[in-house]
Amino acid sequence: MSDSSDEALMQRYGQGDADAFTVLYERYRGPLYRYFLRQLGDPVQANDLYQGCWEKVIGARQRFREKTPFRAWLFRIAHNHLVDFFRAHRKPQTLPDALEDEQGKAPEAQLEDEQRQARFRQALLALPEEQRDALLLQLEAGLSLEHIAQVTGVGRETVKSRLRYGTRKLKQELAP
Amino acid sequence: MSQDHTEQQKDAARVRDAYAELAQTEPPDLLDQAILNRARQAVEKPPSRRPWGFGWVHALSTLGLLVLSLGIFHQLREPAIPAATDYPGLMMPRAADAAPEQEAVPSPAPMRAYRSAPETLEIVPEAAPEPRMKLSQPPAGPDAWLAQIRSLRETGQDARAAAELAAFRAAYPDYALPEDLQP
Repeated sequence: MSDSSDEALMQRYGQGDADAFTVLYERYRGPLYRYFLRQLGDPVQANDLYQGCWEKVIGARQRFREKTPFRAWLFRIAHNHLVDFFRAHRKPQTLPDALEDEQGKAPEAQLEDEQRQARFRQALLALPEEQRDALLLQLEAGLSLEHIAQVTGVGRETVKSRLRYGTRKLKQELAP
Repeated sequence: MSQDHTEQQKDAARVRDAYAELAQTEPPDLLDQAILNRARQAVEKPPSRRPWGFGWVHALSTLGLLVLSLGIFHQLREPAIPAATDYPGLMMPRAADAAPEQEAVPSPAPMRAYRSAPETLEIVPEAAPEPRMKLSQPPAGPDAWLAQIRSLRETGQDARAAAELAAFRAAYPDYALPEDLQP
């Protein structure tokens, strides 16, 4: 079953195979969780949205069609879930520095890495919502330009523009 | 144009590397379990309602209904077939059983009347002809019977004498009647 495509697994889950969902979940739990975490900067809210997103996937299991790319389908649900949340609540806040710790490094090197990564995360959160979303869909979800365009409901050139502006701002934060 | 494109690619690569250095944070285990459980529950068939669910409750209620039904049936059936000790009046007429205290027990009159009615109807036809049987009972012979008829006439019982004479003629159609008795 582990060799099966995402689409085949989702189709099987839609037909009642819970084990297929477990395999699928294992594949996407990390990327999907980090997508929410780095969009929101708040692990509590990220947990809520992450769980809510999977519940939507579970609820939509019988509507999934095998020809649909599962990855794009999943992150489209996540994107819409997030947009709904932003509409109903608030803009993302700054991410606590200690949120994403790295382990196993020397204290000085670890401190330097942590500071750089913290700046990067802050810069990511400071991006306009559309640019951050496009970047995370590319960097975390691994979606192509076409799929990002489908997920976000804009044209391919718009996606490229958002990625370009977002990348430029992040690069400035990475400069020594 | 191509230089800009190359710069953009370099920038994108740097950002991608920087992003890749971020911790691969994952969801808490409890969250994983909650979602996996939810996913499994969603596709599990709901437990079919056992026809004998709550078995002992069903058994008790069924038994109770059975007892209640039998009780009602018994109550309805008692008057129709009363026990001898309850309704002695319905017993077969045996003089020894007709004790005074038993007579005092109120008997179900309608049922008794209903059940006794056929017996009455059978008896009445046999009892009714008794007077006619007496009249039609012939004396020892035709001469004696004719003498009896003369006696009835002499005592003024003409109707009865006529009835006896008719019976005589039916019994002895070939017998020549004496002149005093001819119609």
